Amino acid sequence: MIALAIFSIPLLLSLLLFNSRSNSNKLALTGLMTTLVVAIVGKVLQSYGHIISLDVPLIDTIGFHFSLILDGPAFVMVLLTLIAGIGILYSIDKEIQNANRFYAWSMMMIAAMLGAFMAADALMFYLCYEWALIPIFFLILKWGHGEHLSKITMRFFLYTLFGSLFMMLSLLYVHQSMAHPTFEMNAMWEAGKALTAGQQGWVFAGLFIAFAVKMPVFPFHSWQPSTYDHAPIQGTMLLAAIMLKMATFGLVRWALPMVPAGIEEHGQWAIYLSVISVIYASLMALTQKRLKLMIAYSSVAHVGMISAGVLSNTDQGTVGGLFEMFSHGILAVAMFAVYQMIESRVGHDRMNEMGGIRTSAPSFAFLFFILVMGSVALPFTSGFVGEFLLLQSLSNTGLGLAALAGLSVILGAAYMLRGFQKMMLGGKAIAFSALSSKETMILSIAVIIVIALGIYPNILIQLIQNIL
Amino acid sequence: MEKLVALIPLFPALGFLCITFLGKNMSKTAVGTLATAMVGISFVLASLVFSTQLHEGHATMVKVFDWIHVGTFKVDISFIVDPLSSLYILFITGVGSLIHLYSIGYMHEDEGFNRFMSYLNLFVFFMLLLVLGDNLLLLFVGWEGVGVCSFMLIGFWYKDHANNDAAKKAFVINRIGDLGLLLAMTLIFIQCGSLNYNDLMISGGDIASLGKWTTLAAILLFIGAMGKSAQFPLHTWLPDAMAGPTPVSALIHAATMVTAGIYLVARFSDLFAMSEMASQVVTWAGVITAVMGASIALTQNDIKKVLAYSTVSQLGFMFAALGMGAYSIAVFHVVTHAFFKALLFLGSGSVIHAMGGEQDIRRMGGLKNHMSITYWTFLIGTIAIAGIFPFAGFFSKDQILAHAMENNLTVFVLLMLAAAGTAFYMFRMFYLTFHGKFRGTHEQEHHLHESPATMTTPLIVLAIASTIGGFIGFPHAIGESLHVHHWLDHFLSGTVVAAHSHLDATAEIILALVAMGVAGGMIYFAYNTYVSRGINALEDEEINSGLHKLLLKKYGFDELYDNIIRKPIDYIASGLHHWVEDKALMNIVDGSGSSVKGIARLLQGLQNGQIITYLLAMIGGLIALLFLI
Amino acid sequence: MEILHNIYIQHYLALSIALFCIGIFGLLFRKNAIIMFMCVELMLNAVNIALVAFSKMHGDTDGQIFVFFIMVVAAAEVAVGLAILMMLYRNMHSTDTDSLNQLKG
Repeated sequence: MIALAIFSIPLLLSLLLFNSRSNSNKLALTGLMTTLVVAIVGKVLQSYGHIISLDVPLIDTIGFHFSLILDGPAFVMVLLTLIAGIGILYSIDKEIQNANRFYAWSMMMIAAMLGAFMAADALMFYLCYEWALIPIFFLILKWGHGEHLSKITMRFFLYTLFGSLFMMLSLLYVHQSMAHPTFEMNAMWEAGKALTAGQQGWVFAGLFIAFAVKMPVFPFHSWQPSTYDHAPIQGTMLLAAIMLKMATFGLVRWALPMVPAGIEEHGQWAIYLSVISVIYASLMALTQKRLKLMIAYSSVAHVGMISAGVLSNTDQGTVGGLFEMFSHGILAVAMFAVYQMIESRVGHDRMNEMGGIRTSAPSFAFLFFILVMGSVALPFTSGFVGEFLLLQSLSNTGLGLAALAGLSVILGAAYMLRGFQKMMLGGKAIAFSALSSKETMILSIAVIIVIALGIYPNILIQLIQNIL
Repeated sequence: MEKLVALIPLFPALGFLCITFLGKNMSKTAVGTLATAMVGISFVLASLVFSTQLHEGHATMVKVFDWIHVGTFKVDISFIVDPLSSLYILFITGVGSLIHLYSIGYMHEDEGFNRFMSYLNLFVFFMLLLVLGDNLLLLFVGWEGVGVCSFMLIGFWYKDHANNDAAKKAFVINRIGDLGLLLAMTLIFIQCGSLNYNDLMISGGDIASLGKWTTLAAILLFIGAMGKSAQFPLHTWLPDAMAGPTPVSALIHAATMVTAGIYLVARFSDLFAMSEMASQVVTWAGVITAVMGASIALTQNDIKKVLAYSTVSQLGFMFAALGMGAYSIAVFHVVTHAFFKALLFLGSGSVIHAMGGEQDIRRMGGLKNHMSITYWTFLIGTIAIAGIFPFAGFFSKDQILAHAMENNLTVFVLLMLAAAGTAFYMFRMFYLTFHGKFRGTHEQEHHLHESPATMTTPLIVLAIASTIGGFIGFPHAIGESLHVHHWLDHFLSGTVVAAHSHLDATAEIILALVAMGVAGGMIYFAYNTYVSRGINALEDEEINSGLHKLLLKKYGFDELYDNIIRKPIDYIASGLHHWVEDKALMNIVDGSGSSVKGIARLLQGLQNGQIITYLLAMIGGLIALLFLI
Repeated sequence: MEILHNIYIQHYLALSIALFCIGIFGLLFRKNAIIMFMCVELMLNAVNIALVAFSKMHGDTDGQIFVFFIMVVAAAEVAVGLAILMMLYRNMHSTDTDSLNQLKG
């Protein structure tokens, strides 16, 4: 039942917010915090043997269940969704038009993503996966900005929707191969494993294309930079911090256990593609003149790393992948929050035209620097633990591949430091007012999480490995 | 006693946190004292640990907590106490606390004083982690940590983008090495199933299961060492790193951080001893670096750049020794080098302080009369690095040369050449700075003064260390006839593969005399040129000889890398951005969208809204059906 | 009545075909929606004639039952169709089908 509560509190709040007028910010934040508390309490209860999962048959003829579980990976992603969600909604720094609708859509998106992370039924995963698109579509369309907004939103929507169809095909193929078709998770895994390696290869291809579009992986990423750019900043955060994790999580939850042989024998191309994506995105980040796009591309690079490491199918890869998802989620919120702080003060995010912010706002520079270090995977930050485990996993597939992916270590340092230098350092100091206490709080909490997980990662690793 | 080791890195970390978060309300003196005291306490603890090691001399692990446990992958925050690490922590905290003390005086006027002291403390923390970690991953933490501190300290005066560029260059080039180290780690883990020194070498010997990967693993490790220790071809960052304040150059870019590469190779001496080829690579990288560094230093006129290239060159000596299997001797040279190079850098800092920021030795001269403590201590440092008996540099360098002579005559000749160059450029710099007439402006001359006691005390202590520090490693052959052990070699023998020397006492003495003779000749040559004949170094415009220009331009490595690496990458990246990202991918995506639209437009003609058309189609269809049936 | 005995199935069918064709061509070539509507009725009735004729020939009532259904449907159709036409006329002031092309894609 607790699993149901985690899923439905945001959903009910969303419906409530559509019809409410006032205090939507407080309401939404309180709701998410309550959900967070419920999730943690649920996990504690679970460790004492309480059953908190839920399984309600909905359509018997096709074996569709409304089924939620909260095992290790799901719990970590739920934590991320809620913590990042709180951070995202808390980071709103100005009046929004139709605020209650904005919050309502955001909450609905969070509910959908929670559903996808906790789903123990393939069809339910698919439905939540697609459902999450609708709120973000409206968020971008209504609160986005810039020219060609509707075209860009449409491209994003159709592209990701189109990609997901391949997942549907793969899931249906596995589904129909069963004697008594059901979408239940374990049955799907078993049915997938029973297929021949060749068939598994095709199933995997369908799944991977769907996930690759969402993550995104080169060459399926072309919707992403313009969408990130034109979305409202909170929308970008939702996309980068949580939404794309549905895809990487999908690899861990659905692809790996269902079609391991397919990945091993016919799925190596996906690893190569991911590695290419890492390098390609790093190079792209190197050419960016604008902060927001640079962060967007660095996100592609990180996700490519997750995909490559996870698909190598080792313990380190799976755990490292989930760890990196968490870490990247926190870092993405914080980095885009940094962008928001800079943009709202300077009026633009063209890095070449800034400089010397450190002189005006030293504590901001300090926090930002730690985030940059987390982003380039410096040891004792959470980024390192994830990336190291992923690299370790990837080198099981091939040391050369690991070396190629590892180039992002160098390129990442190059573009991140270049950006940091251009904006924060130098003699000409542009005016930059000190951070508000709210802004300091957001960045500080992110920094604390990043460093704490870097120094004592075991706390999260044990959660991930805790399969109940 | 060994348990104390966990506290050693803790104190500098505490210092960093205190200064960062509470420093605003503290006076500069308090901050300086706190920072120095924290490293000082660590030094006391390190001495205690070291003294227990003197008696026991075996490796002990001190586990603090579990770090990363995933499946079979288990790495802890855990420290190793053995002769090698205890020696390293001793001189890191020792030299480190002296440099902290020095910084109080040197940086006193700087507005970023607190920041500076906190970074120094943080650096010491990471450096201690690096050498104390009992596994490769923890070493890597320190390794990257010192890299970041180095980045922050090189770019300490961040308002000037030249400093920031130097800092970024150092960090990025270091990262190339770090990638090598990362890959070495993954390879070692996959093949051996552990990253602990204990499993790999000390008690387990799992490193042997690398099999055919041995050479690759060793070379990857060495690439890591190359980046950190500025070996050819990744040496270009170190001279630029002189953009940082002088105490930083002394601590990070001379005494401690840059010797991390030697630590790494010495720590993995078991691995390198197994691979002849990797050892050859190490040797030759070292020799090339030694000769190249020394030759560039001949022409530099910036007092810190001379010392920087000298550091590069001396690191080359150490790697040459490592490659030839003389691991303990390389470590010996690390220790003596830490003394005299820190001394020289601090001395140069004192000179720069007195000159009001001037670093060009062509604008100095005659400083001997104005700052006698700096003069005498600098002289000791210069003699020590030139390799004159009985100063510290003599013992270590002489043994490296002895090993080279035994192993490979080409290497020996090249190293001898580098040693001769060292003697010359060091004394060239020394004479130009302290002897002759003052060549700077009147203001500068008026301003000349001896540095305060916080700065001169470290100089004196380091001068003493540079004088007697060499006796911990008396040469084998001579030592045996004098009944003095090669104490250091013996001490380290449990940790690193021992060096074997077969030279007899006579040969070694002859070698020492020859080496000193060459150095003496070079010193005389320098004296003759710059003091007796009073020649000043050429201004940049006056240089005509091609070789001289080439050396002054540092063999053009910066330009070369710019042209073959940075520019092509930028070019490829912007090409990809333009052609693939903006053109190809966009056209494919938008193209598939518009092709759907195009097909729709074709079919649209059928749906023209005229009932007649629909009816005709219906009837046509019916008739067609009739015929089909 | 004599004459009725000389009318065979062929004649009924000929009439039916003739009516049907008139209906089709009227439907195809007239633009007035009301006339087209009447043509549709004509075609329905042509079918009715054929059905009744066959029913008579075979001597069972199946065909006639069908005819009743068709007439019911036709009546319903008239009711709905005329209502649509009324609305069309009110909105467009025309029953010309050429002008009723707003549903094109």
